[in-house]
Amino acid sequence: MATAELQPEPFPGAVAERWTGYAFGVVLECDDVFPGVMPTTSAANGRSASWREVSREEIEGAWRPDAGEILFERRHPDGRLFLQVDTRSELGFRIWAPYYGRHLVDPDGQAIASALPRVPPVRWQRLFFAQVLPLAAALQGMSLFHASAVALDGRVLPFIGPSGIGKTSLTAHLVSLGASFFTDDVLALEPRPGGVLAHPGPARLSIDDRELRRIPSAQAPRLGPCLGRSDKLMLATQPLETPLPVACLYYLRPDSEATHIVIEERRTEPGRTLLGSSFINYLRSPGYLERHLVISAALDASVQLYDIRIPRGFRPRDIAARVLEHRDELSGR
Amino acid sequence: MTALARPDNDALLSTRAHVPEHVVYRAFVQETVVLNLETGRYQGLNPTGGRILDLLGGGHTVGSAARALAEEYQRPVPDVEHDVCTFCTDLLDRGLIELDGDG
Repeated sequence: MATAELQPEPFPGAVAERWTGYAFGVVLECDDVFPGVMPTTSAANGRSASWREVSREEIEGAWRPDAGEILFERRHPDGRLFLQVDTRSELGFRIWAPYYGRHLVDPDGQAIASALPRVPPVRWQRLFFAQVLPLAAALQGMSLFHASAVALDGRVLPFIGPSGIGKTSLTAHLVSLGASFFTDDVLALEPRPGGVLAHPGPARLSIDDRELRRIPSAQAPRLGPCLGRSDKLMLATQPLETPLPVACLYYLRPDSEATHIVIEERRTEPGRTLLGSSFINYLRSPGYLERHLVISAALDASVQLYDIRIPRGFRPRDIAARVLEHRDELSGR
Repeated sequence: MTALARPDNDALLSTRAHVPEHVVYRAFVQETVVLNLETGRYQGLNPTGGRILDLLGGGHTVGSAARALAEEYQRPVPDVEHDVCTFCTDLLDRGLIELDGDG
């Protein structure tokens, strides 16, 4: 018998096994490894999205420029388009940012087609992980919050607050000090009996280079290698691979009158802060809005919201040290 | 736009009201948040407002909800009836409740 006869041959019609990874509570299926998505073999409660790369012409052919309703648009100060999201009921959503790529997400979030520009991968990955995959997760039932998060002692500590307040920088410093990375800028949550379950994001953290230089060189390797630059430096920071319960929430707020960093329980209107921390605000479907209300109520009932009052001149490193002290105080260490 | 005619307080007190399908609400620790799914707008209610919504959802008329509330809070019934009617009229104007027969 010839050896060649013992070699397995593709069965006619058989589907090749596809690579699967996991982020934001969704299993991403594609033909090859998707950079930045942690490999998985689990089903993630049945939420999955298939991804394929297509040509720009294929997306443009499916979606005429004058068709669809613009849901979200952001422009550079000089008027050039920075990001546009539009929708057509039968096709789903198109996310487009010049030099960052264009993507189609189908109406139920289960299929993503991407036309990737000829730019360094960190550039299109930035848009994919900041907008495209979160949208697919939201369409499949996840509630998304504008938050960065670390994990300590098997529980997740999300940081919410206004844009530019330093959520990512705080997260990076906490990881450099020994916390586990969980997500950068987008946090996927779902209710579970008695609390809320958080799902890790992709292995990407985008940080201002000045802030990265403030991390001691001996600790910087904990953040992973730098992959390149888009608007910020993109690091391949490895997140935890499993969903975890939320321990508490921290809201970062500047306080020009404070003389030191204060962490205190929020006593007024924590619910409104949670409702106002939604990610993907252009998604206004009744189902998504109701899920955000339900998860916000579950958070309000099950975890404490703390304000971190940040005086002028205090840096994320100082805040990280205070957060670690606060966790120790709460656990009686 | 012409405002819808609202019943006077006497008529309102004998009427049942309900939360329409496009409105959902959840109790938070310090307030109840009502969400109009058609507009995407949230409305915060204090705990008393949340309790009134619960009573209306339980099949009470506006008047019987007011009497139940007066008993719970140990307040004169006419005062509470007036407050509940004002509150319900505000919710009606915002489309967050409907009178039975309206919807």
